[in-house]
Amino acid sequence: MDSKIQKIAQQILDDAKEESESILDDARKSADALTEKQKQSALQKAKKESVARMKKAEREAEVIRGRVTIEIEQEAHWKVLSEKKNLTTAILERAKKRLLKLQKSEGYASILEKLIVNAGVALSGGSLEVTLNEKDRSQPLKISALGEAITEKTGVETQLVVSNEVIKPLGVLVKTEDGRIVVDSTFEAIMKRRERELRFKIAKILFGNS
Amino acid sequence: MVKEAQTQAEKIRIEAQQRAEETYRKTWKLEMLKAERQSSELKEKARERAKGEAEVFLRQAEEQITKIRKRVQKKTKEAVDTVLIEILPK
Repeated sequence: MDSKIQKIAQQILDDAKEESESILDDARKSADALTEKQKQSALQKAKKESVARMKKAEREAEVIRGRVTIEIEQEAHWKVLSEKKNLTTAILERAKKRLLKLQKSEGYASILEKLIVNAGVALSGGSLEVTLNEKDRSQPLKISALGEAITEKTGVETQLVVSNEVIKPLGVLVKTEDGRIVVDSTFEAIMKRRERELRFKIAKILFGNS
Repeated sequence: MVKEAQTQAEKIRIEAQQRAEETYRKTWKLEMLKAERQSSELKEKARERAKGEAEVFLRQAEEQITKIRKRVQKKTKEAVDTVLIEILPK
């Protein structure tokens, strides 16, 4: 009798053990399946997102390509323009050096005289003061004759006096007696005033259509 | 025993749920990093290719500059004379 009961009890225990193992086995299998399912789900969603991102990247790459091309094209253009500007500046510098040499030439006094008359006419004559640089003060200028020339051109009685002041640049500075109106005919000022026009003329000679 | 197994199974399911969520997050992050790297590479390649293609513009500019310098050597005197004629009083 005892043995029969023991046998039944053992059977119950075995069944419970089997059922327990089955429950745990199912739980583990469904856990693995869930993990795999989530992984596949993430992969699938990520793939769609990756495709969208790559399409966007392709569009951006095209924009980058265009931008880089334009940048380099502009850089090349700028290099040529910069070279032209430097060459034009070099011509202006050479011209300034030639002017310095001109100061030692015979005809220089006549150039100064023309500058004085032109400035005097621009000021409509009257009592005018001429300022020169240190070296030019020793030039043989016919000041009273220049005054007469201005009188003749403007119809206004003109007296010219050479100022005791000195300037540094070549050329002349002519002003009214009260100093209110000044005509700066130094070559430095003339070149500065006409720089744009001069650069244009130089460029036309140097570069033509290039 | 069965009750204990059920409790254990429930625990496994809860842990599995957490692990699955973690797996999803990690997989997503990894795939996005890959996509990010690929798109960066694509853009970098486009930039490099464009640079290579545009080198021709810089070479053309250098050639043009060489030609200009040669011409300027011949025209310098004329240009300086023109400046002087322009600025000296008539």
